[in-house]
Amino acid sequence: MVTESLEGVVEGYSSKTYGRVLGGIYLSAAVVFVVGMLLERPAAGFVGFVGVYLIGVVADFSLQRSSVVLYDERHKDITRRASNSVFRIYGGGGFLVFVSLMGLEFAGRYEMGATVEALFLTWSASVLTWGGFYTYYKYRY
Amino acid sequence: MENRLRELREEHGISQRELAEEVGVTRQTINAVERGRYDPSLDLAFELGDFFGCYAEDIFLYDGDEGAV
Repeated sequence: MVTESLEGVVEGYSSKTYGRVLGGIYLSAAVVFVVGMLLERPAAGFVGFVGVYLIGVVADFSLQRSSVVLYDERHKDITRRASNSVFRIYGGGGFLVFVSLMGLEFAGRYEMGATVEALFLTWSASVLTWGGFYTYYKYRY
Repeated sequence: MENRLRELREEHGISQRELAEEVGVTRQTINAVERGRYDPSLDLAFELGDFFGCYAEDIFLYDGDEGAV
């Protein structure tokens, strides 16, 4: 009964409005975190961030189960393109940087520090994970 | 890909928002399709054809040269 009455209310606003509200909630979460850091209360900022973010997730989840169309095929396409671009930048860029650094290290002109080594391992793990998923989808489709 | 979506929608006298609600996408997606910025999936193309009572190829005009390298 409550769901039925809410359904009428939910349909009264456009998906654009809901998108803006959700964007506002997620942005507010980030602002709360930054304000907490600026006020030298990182724990309070973090708790506030998690709290506001969870409100956004619950609202997002609820709206996706209503008649409002928040995300459609174009949204998925945009997400895919954005992921592709990020992977190209970090994957391709990382390849150039790390191969160059390793080349310099083998030539004895550079020594990889702990931080750079950790970054290299993280990058390698990301690329391997991508490769794993790529192989899975290649044989699945 | 060129299409006749705006023309058909206007012939039927409905807004982008109404059409979006009918075929289950956002208004922005209908706008992007009409402006040729987004090529819809086969599902959506058939859904639009179904809504307007025509074939998908009556809405979307395939240009064989598109995608040629």
